[in-house]
Amino acid sequence: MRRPGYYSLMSKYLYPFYILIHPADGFREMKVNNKFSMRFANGVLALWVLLGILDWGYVDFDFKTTARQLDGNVNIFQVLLTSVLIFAISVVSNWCFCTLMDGKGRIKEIWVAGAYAMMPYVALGILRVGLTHAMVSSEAVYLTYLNVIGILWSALLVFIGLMSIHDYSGPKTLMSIFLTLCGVLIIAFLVVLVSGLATQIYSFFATIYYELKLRYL
Amino acid sequence: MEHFSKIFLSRKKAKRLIRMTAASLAVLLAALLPSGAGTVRADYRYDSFGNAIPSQYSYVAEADYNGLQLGVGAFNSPTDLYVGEDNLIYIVDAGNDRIVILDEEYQVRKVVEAFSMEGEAVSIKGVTGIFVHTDGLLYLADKAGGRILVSDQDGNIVRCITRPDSALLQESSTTTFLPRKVLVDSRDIIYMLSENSTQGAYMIDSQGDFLGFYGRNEVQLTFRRLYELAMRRFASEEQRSKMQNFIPVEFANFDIDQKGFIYTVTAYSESPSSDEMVKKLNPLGNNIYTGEWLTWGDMPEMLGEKYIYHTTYTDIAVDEDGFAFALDAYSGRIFWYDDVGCQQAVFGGSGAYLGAFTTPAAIDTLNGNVLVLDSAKNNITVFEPTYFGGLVKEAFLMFNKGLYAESRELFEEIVRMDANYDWAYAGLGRAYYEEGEWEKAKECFERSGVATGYYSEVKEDLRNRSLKENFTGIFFGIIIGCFVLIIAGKLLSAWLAERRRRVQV
Repeated sequence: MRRPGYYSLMSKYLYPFYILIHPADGFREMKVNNKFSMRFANGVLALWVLLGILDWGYVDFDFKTTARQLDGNVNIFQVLLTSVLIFAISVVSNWCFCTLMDGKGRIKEIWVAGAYAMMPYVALGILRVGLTHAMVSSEAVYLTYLNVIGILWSALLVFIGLMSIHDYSGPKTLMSIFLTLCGVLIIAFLVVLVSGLATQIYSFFATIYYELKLRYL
Repeated sequence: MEHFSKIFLSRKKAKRLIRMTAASLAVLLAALLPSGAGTVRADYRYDSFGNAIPSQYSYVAEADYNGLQLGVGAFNSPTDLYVGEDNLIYIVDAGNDRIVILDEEYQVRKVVEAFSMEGEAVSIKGVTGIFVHTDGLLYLADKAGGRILVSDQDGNIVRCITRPDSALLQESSTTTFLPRKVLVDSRDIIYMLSENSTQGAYMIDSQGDFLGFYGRNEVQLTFRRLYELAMRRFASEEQRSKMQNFIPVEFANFDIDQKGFIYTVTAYSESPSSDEMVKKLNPLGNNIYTGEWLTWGDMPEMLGEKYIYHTTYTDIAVDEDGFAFALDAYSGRIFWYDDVGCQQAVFGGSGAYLGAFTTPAAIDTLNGNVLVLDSAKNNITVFEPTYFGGLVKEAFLMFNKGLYAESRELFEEIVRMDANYDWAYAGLGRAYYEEGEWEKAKECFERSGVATGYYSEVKEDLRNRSLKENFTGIFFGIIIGCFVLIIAGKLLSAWLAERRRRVQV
């Protein structure tokens, strides 16, 4: 065990890289010493969006498998939806459930820990997109490994991060993650419901307006 | 008269009205009537996304001939058409109980009116298929009579093949002997498709002995089949007997090419997946039309058709160059495939005009032209390749023979005329590849969308070449990069140590 205080001396911007390889110590230190950088976390999220764009439109022809990759017209809203928006909803959902379940984490901490945990996935993903231009389809299996490693590493970080932030035990963390996923579904359902209702209300008033316009204007 | 024009129109105005009406009618007619040689709707081809893309005309209907034009009296429900090695066209005019033989110039060579076997007259009203062997004998599939008749060119039936007596051919509902279509290979083995038989083609040797079955479609495992299989376990004996059986779908028709490959077509059904609708079988009976990007039949939803229908192939013909033409009885369209199964064009259609069909029954090729027999219109339609179609044939012929570099100019011309031609880009890329222009080849393969294997190869070649050429740079780059990283790491840790000391003090 190293002396306490050692890591707190590390720069705010170097610290996330330390967390990558020492997640248990790192996340605890981060919480205890308020050692997190919102700016860095948002930078990671921005890179995540970049990864979404690259993966959609800039994979080499050899590795284009899905229809949207072959089509190649990047829709930035869809990219945002599948990266940052889902992330934000998950954070909110996790905060909602963990507050009820005696979690110690604040929403800011959850946000930052989550973003830090996404670093391996984002970094390896960008590396993967770059490598598609250098590799051929017979070597595709290496890129698959890269992707799987990124996902597993990130998943592990998410798990340990949430455990440290909320001061939970392992099983309780798993439970909270499960509830969080349910929460995401509920929020998604509510969003669809509200937007659907809003559209109907809008069209109702729009119809009245057109009716009046045709009759009197 | 004065009175009349006052009531209606002045003469000047009337004339103008007539002129305008005539002009608009002319425009309307020009829009409605075929402008080219009997071709109204555009030909098309499916791209790698499965979209139907309009293409240049590759075959256009040049003429049609009915019995009256030929001077032999109207045809009556002709059932089959075959072009022999001798370039004569044999038409089974079943309704009139005769066979009409035309020469290459579409002039009547002979009409075989009467058939007789051992002095007895034989009717060929039930004949649904004809094959003409190289020795000039006509093989007639007599479905109504349950036999194959072998006749000479004068109507004397020299042989009659009925159900062979063989232990291999047991009596069952799937081993009927109702010959629909027949062909003979170079070893004098007769292949016969029997009505309702799902076992494939019957192989019968020249002695009339049964050799076995050839080809046959497989039952595909679909989710519905799986569900039925599961349900079958819980069903009672009575329920089970009412359930659908797992039987493959019979071949609709077949043809043989000069190399001895047998091409089969099958009407769409749920059971053979669309992979099996067109097959090219080697002598072992294995399908060799198995490319990744090959598609068979129409995708009506991609055509914007009002009705969803399934391609109902009724006949296939292979020309001397190995191009296959499959005829869809439902839409009247002809699907043109090359030697390895790439779809080159879809032409023809349904309708009453020249180049469209109401009940297409048979297809064959003659000197590069495509002949289609329509049993309701009672005529044969002759499609001739256009300049573009000729180019495509020549180019893909060279390509499939391996003459890639020589075919470059042809493919360039094809792509210039029809920029959406996936397979042509593959051919062009291959030509560039042979000439060593790898960058251009790579672009073409990417544009093609169906040449994924080629794309990978050329990319690997390009990579290996650039690695070889820049080996020194890469080698020293890696060494220098390692040094830079080590030094940066040292500096960083020194800076951290310094900072820690300062804070602790």
